[in-house]
Amino acid sequence: MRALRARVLLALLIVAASPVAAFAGSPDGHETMWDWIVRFLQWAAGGWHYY
Amino acid sequence: MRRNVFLLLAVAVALAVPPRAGGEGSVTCVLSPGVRASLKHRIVVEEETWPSVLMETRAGRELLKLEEAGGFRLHVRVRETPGDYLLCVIYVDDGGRVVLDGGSRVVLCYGRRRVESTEILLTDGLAEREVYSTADESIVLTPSSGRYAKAASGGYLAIVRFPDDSLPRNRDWVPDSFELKGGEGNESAAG
Repeated sequence: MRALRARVLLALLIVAASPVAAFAGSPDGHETMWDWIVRFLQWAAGGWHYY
Repeated sequence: MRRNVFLLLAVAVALAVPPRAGGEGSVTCVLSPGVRASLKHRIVVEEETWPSVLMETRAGRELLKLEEAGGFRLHVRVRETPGDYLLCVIYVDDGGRVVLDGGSRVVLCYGRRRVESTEILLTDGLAEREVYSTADESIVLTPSSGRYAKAASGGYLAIVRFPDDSLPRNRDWVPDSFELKGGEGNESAAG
């Protein structure tokens, strides 16, 4: 059970850290992390199709 | 344990908050029995479809890749055809049916002023490989019209085109009410 929880937390950590890593390594430094997250969610949801 | 719950809640909230939360308003009207439509968003063509702008963001570049692969056609159509555009979601309940054709007009009411649409556009899915226009064909929407793309809320995604510069600027585009006129076989609409 503890191992499972650790894996879940690790997965969440990776998900949460990926925008940070992407932002840090991106030449588009003017994009804020929040902007990145919002745009990613918008894209993941299909943009106009989100509604 | 509390930290885990917090993390899960944060993820849930992030997924639940619409990208345009806190932005423009929307308006919903009954078009005919069993058919509702909601005008959600004024499309800022320059920001949402122009390659030069899309190239500036990661998500935009993904959309352009989609365009190169033959998709994204609804966006391309909007980009290449001058006009004012509103994003509309049409909800068809069980037993409901609406026909959108060349005679169909979405009429926006701003007090006494009326603005009529010129075209209603739909697509086939997230990748937007097809565009269906009332200028070219009749579009029949029932609860099970599998040909047309639905938005996440379950209604049919439609883009309503109006004459260029006919809508009020910015967030003032939200009308007092609107109605659907025309369309073969549609019952009279209530605004």
